[in-house]
Amino acid sequence: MTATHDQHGGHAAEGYPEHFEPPRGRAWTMAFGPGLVRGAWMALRVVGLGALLVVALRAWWGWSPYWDTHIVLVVGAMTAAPIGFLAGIGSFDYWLHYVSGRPTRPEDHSGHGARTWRDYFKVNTDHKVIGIQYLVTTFFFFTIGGLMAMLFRAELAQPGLQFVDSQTFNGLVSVHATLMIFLFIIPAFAGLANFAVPLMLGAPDMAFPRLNALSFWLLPIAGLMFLASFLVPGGAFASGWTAYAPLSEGQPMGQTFFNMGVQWAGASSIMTALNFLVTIITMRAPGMTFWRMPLLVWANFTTSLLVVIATPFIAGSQFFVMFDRIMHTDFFTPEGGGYVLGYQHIFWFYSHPAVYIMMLPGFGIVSEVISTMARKPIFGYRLMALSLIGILVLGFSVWAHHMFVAGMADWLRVPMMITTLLIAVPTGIKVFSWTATLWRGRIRLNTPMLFALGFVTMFVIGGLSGIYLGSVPIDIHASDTYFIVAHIHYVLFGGSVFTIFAGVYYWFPKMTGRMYDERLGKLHFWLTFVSFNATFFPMHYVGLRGMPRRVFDYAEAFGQLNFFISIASFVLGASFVIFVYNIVTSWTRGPVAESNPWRAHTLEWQVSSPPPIFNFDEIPQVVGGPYEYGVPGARHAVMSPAKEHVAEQEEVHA
Amino acid sequence: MSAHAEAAHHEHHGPPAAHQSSRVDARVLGMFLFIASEAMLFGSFFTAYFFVRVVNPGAPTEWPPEPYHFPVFVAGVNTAILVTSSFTMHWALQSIKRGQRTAFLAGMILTFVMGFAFLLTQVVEYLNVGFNTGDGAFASVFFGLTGLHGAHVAVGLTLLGIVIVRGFRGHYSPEHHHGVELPGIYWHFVDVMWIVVYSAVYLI
Repeated sequence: MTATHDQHGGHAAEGYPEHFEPPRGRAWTMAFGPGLVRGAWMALRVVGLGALLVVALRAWWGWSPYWDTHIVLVVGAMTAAPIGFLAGIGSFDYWLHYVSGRPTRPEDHSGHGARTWRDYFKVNTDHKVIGIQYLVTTFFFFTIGGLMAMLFRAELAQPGLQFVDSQTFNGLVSVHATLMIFLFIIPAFAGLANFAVPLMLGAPDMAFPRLNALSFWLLPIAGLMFLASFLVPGGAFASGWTAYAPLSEGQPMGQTFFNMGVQWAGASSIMTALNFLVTIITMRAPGMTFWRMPLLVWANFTTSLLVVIATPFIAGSQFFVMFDRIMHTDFFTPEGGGYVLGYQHIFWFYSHPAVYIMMLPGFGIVSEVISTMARKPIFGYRLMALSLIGILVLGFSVWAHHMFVAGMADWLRVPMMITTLLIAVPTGIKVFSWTATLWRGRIRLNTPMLFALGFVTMFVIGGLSGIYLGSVPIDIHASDTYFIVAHIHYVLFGGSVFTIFAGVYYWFPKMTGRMYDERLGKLHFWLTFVSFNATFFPMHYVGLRGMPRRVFDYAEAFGQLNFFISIASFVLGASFVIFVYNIVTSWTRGPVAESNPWRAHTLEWQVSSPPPIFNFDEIPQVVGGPYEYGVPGARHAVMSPAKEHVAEQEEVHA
Repeated sequence: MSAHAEAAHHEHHGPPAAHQSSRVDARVLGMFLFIASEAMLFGSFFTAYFFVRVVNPGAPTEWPPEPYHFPVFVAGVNTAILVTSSFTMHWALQSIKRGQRTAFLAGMILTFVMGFAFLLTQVVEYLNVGFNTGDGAFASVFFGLTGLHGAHVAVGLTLLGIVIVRGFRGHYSPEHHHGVELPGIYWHFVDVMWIVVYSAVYLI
């Protein structure tokens, strides 16, 4: 044993640096000190400045009308206000100090660590706090996105129009998908990795802690922007999360909220990815070679490369649509010499790699969980890492398989089909490796493991329907039907979301220092697993029978099955309530967790739960691979000898 | 030493120094990754250019289509100015590495002035170019690429301005010049990108 759990509770504040004492009173600090209050009023103030700038420039050029609500919203509410908010909460305080030419402040670590729940609503530079901020925020948006799904499933329970009109229906579907992708799956993985990766590497924090804080605070901005689109005339953006031009170019104002929201979410993603890459390259503990890194670190390394390279393309695609909409350019309008299909090429050049951005970190989580819970070294460790790189490289060569029916050049079809089917090879390697890891393991079927196994089975189904869709003839038949909806939910819900649940349960004791309720966790898993399949499996069938996606109405013949799907989806929604209840009650009054309840070897489990403020008192020395379970005498790392001594003493006292 | 022992002594408790596992400096690596991302953003704009000018069945046979024309010569002079500013930037960095403070400041100011002249010329060019954003896909591509680049020049000038302010306050020395080196890398990127933009939009 190298650590104890007695840092939890009353001792947690010890070792924390002194907070900087403000020279003014409490009310002054509340209103003018960095925080949400200052963020709110600074955001409001710069909205006015932005509006003024627009009106002044238009008046100077003599463009009438001087007041154009659409432009004012883009400049004031979607560009200036977020910057004002970020400045207000204090994201830029240190940098502005630097920029103004004053001497650099020595880091006092006052923005590090969380003592009360209030600290989670501040700019915090501690990667563990940021990880939890990410997770809570993303689950908030997951709930909203899920409620939207409940709403349009209610609409789809019978043919015809019942609850919402067609534009609102499309708006709900679009915002649901956008929130789930940009505000849940991608950032939830970033949150888990933010918490785990520096610990796993033996690093005291990320390479750029202030940038890390900034990239978190961009997220709620993007989320609120997507939601705010419901409030403007014409309703939310309704052209799907893919927002194909020219459909998106003729949409009401809400579409612009999508164009700009994606920029903020994308900037957040790129900053985090850059931070991960630099951290992984420059801050590994001594002895932590690339071939000794846990697979979660490998997964985030490859994912971050994908993000840094691919995300600018969705930024570009949304800029072009926005310019076409508000500056009357002709990027995608044929009458002005634009090229309509260009949108789909540019969009999918990001958005296909994005499905791996939404999957590779999940592969990493599942590798951790399966190896630990099966008490066996991961099968083919190096091949697991190399297959991630294989997916990374191949992932950039398949984008046009989304466009088999879009009217692109015929010769592009077969090459894209071949590369798409080739991706099944590295993915298959991973599935076989997990299976081989389980083979004759001493499997512990606890909640993280159940979700990991649920992931492997569901992902195989989603992967197989992906192979069908990758082949041109079947894709032409199944395009734009519910078969696609079934496929994407098997990959993204049965795949990514299951791995997020696995990761949250797996690291919950480490994050909070408390144990979740195992019985409720298992109930959550089985209810989710069954209702998930009841919801999405029938969609394969109705899809192949020809029911089109993204339409509020459908043929009478699909009525009964759709009613069944809607009921199942409500059960799926209800299963999430169990998760929230379990997490909230366990976090507040669950039993105190051990420092290493899973007896895992990776470094984050060798420190107390929750970890000390700077992770390690001394940087550990890595001496072996991360998954040597059941190998006699094998060690992943040696913690500092002094610490082990103290830990033993504390055990005696306890 | 454990957190407990530390608290008992009321010492300042900072993080343990991270192990430096690469010869590359974290800040320089971060800047290069950022530039990789930026290059891809330019890549998406060049992709739009490629679609409009090459792939599109209705692509214009003349570039720019009649009756418009681009001010190739003025932009060429502007290119020369921007490329020169890359050399003065390099001179400034080398000077501070050698501890020659006056040469460093002169180099920074020259770089800033040339960058500013470039941006100003571009604004004047926009006002006199004879077409607007709504005049066809060629104009979209022209304003898209040069505008994206202009925004980068503006960011670069801000960074250079910060370096100048801090330079006058004497914050850089032969030992500490990362604050000069990083904006310098960015500035070189902006210059190289302009050569590509100029060649693609104006020359070919």
